[in-house]
Amino acid sequence: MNKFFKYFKVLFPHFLLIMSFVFIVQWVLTLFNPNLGLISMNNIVCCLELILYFSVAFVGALLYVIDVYRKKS
Amino acid sequence: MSESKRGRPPLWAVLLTDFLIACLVCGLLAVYFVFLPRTVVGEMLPVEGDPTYFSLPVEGENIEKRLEDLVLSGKKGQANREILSSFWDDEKQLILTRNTLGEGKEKITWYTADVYVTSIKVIMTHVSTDEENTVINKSVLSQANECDALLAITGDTFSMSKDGVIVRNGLLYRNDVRTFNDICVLTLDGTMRIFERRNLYSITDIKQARAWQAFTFGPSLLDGKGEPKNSFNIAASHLSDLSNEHPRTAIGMVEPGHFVFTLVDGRAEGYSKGATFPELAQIMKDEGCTVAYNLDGGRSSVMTYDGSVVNKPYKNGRGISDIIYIPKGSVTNDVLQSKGDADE
Repeated sequence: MNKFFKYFKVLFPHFLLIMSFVFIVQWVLTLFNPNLGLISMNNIVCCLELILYFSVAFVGALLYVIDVYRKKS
Repeated sequence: MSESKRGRPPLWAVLLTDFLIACLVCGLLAVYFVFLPRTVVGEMLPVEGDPTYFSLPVEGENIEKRLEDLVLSGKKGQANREILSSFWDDEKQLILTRNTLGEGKEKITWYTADVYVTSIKVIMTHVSTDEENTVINKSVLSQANECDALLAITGDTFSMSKDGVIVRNGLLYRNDVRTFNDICVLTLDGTMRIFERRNLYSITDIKQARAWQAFTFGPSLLDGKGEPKNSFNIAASHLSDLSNEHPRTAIGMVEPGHFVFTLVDGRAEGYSKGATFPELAQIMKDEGCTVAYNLDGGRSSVMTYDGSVVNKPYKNGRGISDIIYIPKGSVTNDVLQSKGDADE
């Protein structure tokens, strides 16, 4: 279990970084063509809320990864 | 310290790896949503009763002239109208007109086919698939030729959407009513009905309406009394479509049994600038419609008549998955026969 948490702790920020980036790309694609992206632009409030969450997640994960690597170096 | 640094890649390499993995995921999603062919299989809708039959408006002698007069007398607005062709047989009567409004940069050109049918089954759709029911995009003209269509226009290109209710010639292809799009249903009663999300309908409502065709694109253009809507449901469409002028395709109903297919050309300054949704709604009102619905537009907008393209498609059009068409020959008996065979 400890081994799992050890890897999880290292990989989770990267996972969050990748998935939030993918979501943001999908969101932008949907602006150009609603059929290109994963998400539906049907509810504009829901869409804005989602992009806000994922932007925060992306920036948070990015800063975390940078911070961890700076401290360890 | 030096040991841990030696085993650890630099920050830029880690971020680059994350970025490349993200690009790979985006690519896989694109392959799934855009490039992967989709398979469609229709399920026969249990429809009760026969379709409602209508009398054609003009009978006897001198049909062409009387039909033209009838159609033109129902039009409103200031458009210049030129009759391009007419057709009539025992099942349908059709008048095709070219209409222009405005001058110079503001000029709009659109084509209208007024179709009177004895039964809604005369209005047919075609889905372009291969032998394994995988949707193939083909031009409107080639699909029209395959169906031996008298008149054909772009449908709702449902292979590109993920939700909504799709019925084609009585076959249910999709029943996802969670869509925010307006849904247009041609019923066996010979009417055209719009289902809007705010009305909280279910798939049972659509089945009870005895759907012969159902389209998911939109938005709905008129309020049911023939007046253009004040606001359009563009939630699920391109966000800038309301204010932008594009080629448009629309279907409307004047009265049960009398339908209007309209194609507005666009993106060609001096010939036709295209139409916004409010302009398209006004056009459909001037055509005499009480209900009207927007279909796939832009480069997809193509109308064919008797084996040739009528309008001037933007960049010669594009391949699409489905068309709405009026067949040249008699279809009612064939369709009834095929439905009967399927029921058995």
